[in-house]
Amino acid sequence: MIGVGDFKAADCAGIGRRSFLKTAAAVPFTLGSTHQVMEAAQAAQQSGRVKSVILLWLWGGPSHIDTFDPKPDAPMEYRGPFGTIPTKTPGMHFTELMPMMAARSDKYTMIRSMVTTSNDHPTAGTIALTGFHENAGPVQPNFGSIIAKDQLSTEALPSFFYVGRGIPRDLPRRIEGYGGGTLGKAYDPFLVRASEHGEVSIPQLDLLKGITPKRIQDRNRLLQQLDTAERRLESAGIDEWHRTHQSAYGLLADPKARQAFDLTQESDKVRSRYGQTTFGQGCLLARRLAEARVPYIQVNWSEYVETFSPNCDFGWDTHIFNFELLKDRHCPILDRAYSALIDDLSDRGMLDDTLLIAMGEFGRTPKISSRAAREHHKDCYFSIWAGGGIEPGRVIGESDAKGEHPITRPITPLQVGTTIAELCGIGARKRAEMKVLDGGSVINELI
Amino acid sequence: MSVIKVACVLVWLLGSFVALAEKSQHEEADLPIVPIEVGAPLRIDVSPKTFTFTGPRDRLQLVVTGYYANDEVADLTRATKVTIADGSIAESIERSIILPRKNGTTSATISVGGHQATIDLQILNRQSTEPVSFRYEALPSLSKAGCSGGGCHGAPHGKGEFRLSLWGFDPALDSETLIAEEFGRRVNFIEPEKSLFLAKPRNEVAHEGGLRLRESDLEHQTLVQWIESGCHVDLHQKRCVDIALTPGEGLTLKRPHHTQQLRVEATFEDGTVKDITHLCAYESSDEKVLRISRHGLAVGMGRGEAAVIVRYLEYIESTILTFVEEVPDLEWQTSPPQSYIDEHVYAKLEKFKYLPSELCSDSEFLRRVSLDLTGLLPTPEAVETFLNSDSADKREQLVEDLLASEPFHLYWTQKWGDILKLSARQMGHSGVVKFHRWIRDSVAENQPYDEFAKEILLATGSNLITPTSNFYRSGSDTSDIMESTAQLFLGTRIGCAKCHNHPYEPWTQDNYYGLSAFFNRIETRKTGRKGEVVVWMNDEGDIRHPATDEIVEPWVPGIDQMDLSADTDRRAAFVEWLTADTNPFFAKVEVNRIWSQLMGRGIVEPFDDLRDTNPAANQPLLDALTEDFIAHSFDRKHIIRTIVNSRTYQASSRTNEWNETDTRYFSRYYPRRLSAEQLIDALGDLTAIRESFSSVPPGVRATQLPAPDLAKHDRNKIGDIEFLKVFGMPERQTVCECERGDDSSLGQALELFNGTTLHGMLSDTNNRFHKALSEGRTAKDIVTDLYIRAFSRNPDAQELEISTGYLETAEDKAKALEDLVWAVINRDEFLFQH
Repeated sequence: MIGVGDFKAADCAGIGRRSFLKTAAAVPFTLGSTHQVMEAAQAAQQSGRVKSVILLWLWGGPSHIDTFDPKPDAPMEYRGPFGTIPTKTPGMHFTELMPMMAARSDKYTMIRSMVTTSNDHPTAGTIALTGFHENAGPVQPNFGSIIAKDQLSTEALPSFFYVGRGIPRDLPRRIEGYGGGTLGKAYDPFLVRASEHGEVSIPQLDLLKGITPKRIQDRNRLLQQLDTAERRLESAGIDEWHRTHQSAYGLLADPKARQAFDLTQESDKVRSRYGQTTFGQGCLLARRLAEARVPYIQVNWSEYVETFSPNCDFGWDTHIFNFELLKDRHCPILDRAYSALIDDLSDRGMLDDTLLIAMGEFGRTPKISSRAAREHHKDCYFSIWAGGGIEPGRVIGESDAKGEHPITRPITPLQVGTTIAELCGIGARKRAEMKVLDGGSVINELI
Repeated sequence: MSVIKVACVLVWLLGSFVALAEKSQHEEADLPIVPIEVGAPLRIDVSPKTFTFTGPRDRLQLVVTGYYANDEVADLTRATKVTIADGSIAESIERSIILPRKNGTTSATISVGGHQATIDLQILNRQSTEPVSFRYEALPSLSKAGCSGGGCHGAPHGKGEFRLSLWGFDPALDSETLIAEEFGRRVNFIEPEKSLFLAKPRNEVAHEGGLRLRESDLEHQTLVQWIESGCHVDLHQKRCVDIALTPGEGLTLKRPHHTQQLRVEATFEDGTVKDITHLCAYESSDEKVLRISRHGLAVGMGRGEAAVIVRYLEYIESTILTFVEEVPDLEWQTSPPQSYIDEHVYAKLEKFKYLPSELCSDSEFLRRVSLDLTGLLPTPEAVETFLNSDSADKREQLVEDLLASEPFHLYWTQKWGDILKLSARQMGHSGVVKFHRWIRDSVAENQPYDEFAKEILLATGSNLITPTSNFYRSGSDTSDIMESTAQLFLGTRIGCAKCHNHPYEPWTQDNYYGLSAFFNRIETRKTGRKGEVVVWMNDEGDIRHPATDEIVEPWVPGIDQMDLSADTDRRAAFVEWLTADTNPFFAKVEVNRIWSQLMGRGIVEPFDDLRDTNPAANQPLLDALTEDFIAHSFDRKHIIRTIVNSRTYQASSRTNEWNETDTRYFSRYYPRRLSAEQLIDALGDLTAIRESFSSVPPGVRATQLPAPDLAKHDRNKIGDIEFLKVFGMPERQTVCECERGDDSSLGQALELFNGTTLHGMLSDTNNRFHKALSEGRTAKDIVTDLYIRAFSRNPDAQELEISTGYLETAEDKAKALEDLVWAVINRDEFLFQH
């Protein structure tokens, strides 16, 4: 990696900012303009410091004002009922609902200037998870699918996990950008769920009646016996099929491959630190998967955005009882689970090569609605970044006095995905070769 | 289509070219270049023969070629000594480049390999103060650095609030952007080097695009000079009318020779010729075969062919370079070619020294050709008849039988259904069923392809009476229809040209709207009858060019004036042009598509992306097939028959010592996984428990379904069947057949281990094997039947022994048999077509 030095710099919009120029990690489109830069890019690709990404997907649109970007000086109809508390980061305040995270703000960096382009949940969900609108040609791959395609999981585990109940959706439809998109179904996420008691269920691995691990072993042994070299076929596609077949076999038949899912191997103390909630236990499962070097784990807060409707599971879409729900349910759960996770990652020395991100698809309207709650707000929200070489303890971006718009350069989901890819060693050249994240740029301020 | 959508689509389309664009700027130091072995050429040739420098910044790149015995050629440019007769008039620098010093005439002597050649040089205007041309020097410099590429500032909305026109096609806009926009902050007239638009690509000011320019680069110097001269912009200067590439004809280079210096000349409207080698951007169509340096040096990386693509403003030129090498110990021998197909394929293989695989076995052929033509596995009766026949022409006879069978008609109808996007969502249930029936009849009657296209494109009236008018429901608007038409019948992805000239093809924005004009008057309207839509042609309604707002007349390539009277259906003129024997695209796209459907890979790949910059794996083969197709009045069955009867199609899928690395020139049959539909049908036939589908008559197979989204009101869509979904049945959202994914996924493997479809079939006590067992048939009998059904062959001794042993020693024989069938299904030989 080549450090080129630090500069005082201005970007195109004329806003001064400290520039980085750690070429390797930060420069997209470095493609071969010079030997030096190419070398640096290659070095970054080889070392790719991030080995696992955990995305805490706060589905439904968490209110930024009531959590991490309070506006205590805004007019009454904006600011809401919650008081603010200082954090460990000088000048940064949260609402009183996030005390544990406030006490750990030296471990992560907060972005307060996120913007997206849709106020519709599934559409904004696709944008948030792929960087692109779902109608702009074929649906683009989820960031996790991109990482999964680039990095095979080291053990016999899938490379891209969804921890949660199902593919995130609202009542009418699911997020189109949930999985492989243009990269193909091969890179769809693998679904696994933890209950609030820490019981893990994996629908695809629930054996059908009549199929047992022993039978799967017998069958596979028979297959190996019959599959002699002279009958074997050769092609890249066949090699890939054999690898896939072997992973599936491992998951179904090899108890070791399933150890990563076994939360009973954690002490009660650890399990209760995360909270006896599905999200809390999901975060613990994510940590175990990251330990098993799964490249990308997305922990879904809920399957549905809605909070109360039948079959729904308390998403962040708080059109009614916003303040009550945040105070009594959502914020305590998130505050606890996030804090436990970041402590755990940090204690285990995993923060260097694990990237932890928390975000939703948009924020909520700063102005309180006639139902005494908040509606969808695409023009300003937050994301939280930790580990993976990100310099912690900072705030990036700033929203206006009412929390309606960023007053600094807005940061987009496409930049989120590009930054994730870059940190995982998928530089601009590789992205271009994979035909993904076209036109995306890295969030330079993070690095 | 909203503006945003269009923009995004374009970003996407361009995205696929970014990879190409960004690989272009190789430094020679990074490339594995073998020193030139000059040897003893018979003669040398120098390009150009004479040259006149007409501007103060002109340069001349020489290209020196050596000709050897055995018709070998080599580029000797880098091994050449250049001597200028009068060094005060011109000088020669590295890379055999000549620079002017002062006005006058002199000559350059080129010496290499014991030969000499002399060219005359004339230098004019050396002292001229002619400013740097914005259009012809500054903008190309930005292009070369990659700034105005589609992935960078040339994107529809630019990057970082700085937008350039794509590859500089709009100089007026670019001059405004560079000089005046943002209060002129991009240019610094006092200290030109400090201009923001130079400091950024030098990476001295944070630049997301990274380092693109260095001060030592000629492009940088040119841009600085442009600023020094006051950012002079003359939009009315003499126009460049053409560019030419040397070598223009494709060359074959044999190792150790593997490099070729290129030279590019631009001709201006006053007849002036300039050497623009240093101003062009270079790309390779296949970086595995060829890489090209920023100075225009093409470097062969391995055996094969690739196109060199040269870009100067809106001009694109390409040439194909072929790299061959000696393969020691290979004795070339093939069986005699069966037809022109094999002759062309073998010629290409011999050139690259890939020895074709031997002929496949009868069993392999039967299984392969049945799957390709009917989508289904052969029945045991068919296997027995075929394997036992001694007839010399039994393969040909089999092909004839299959081509005349109803499963062939239905399976190839489904292939067309994918391409024509038959879906209930777009066409309604009745629309799909009618259109599907029409295609089936067309395939069954072997309707000539030109008539097929005509009937689709000229459809008018109710979609329930004229089934083909459903085609006009497959897109959201007329641009969509025109783009689909272009991709289907012209093999071009013209969508890029909607907003600007196509970056990789000669299609311009004018062309896009010229083609759209044929379709712009089509109207569709729903009637009161359920599911009915009427399509008709309005007699007015013109399309306007978005840039000029002028009415665009219908236009097709190669014809200056279309004869269109006011009251004719404009589509008729288009279709007449399209289906003419002389049309350069129509027949070629179809034979390439058929080839790709049978061989798993197009001669041009992707098969519907025909352009000079995407060279065919075997151009003579493609040309011969095209000619044959036209000569046989667009007879599709004839082409299918010719291909499947060739030795190339009938080659084994196994590699030999000499063709392991070939993935492109058809030295063997490339195995491919059965499609979702083929697989579910094969499982149904094997177990005798067939999947049934809602909303189609009983007995319809998956490979014969009209559309994936047919549904009864109380049932799910066919395409929602988990098995079909995970194995990649397409949803038919795009005209691209690439929607049919062949990636393997964990979901697929799990589906076979633990999915309800297969498990249901295996555990069903009514299935073929449970029944055979309860009827008391012997293990050997059952296993043999299984192998014949699955692989069209008998089990070998070892297979028989393992299988019968497994069965006989098992406590629960029924379960053991299920296991045995499962193991057969999971073998490569079953899951793949080979």
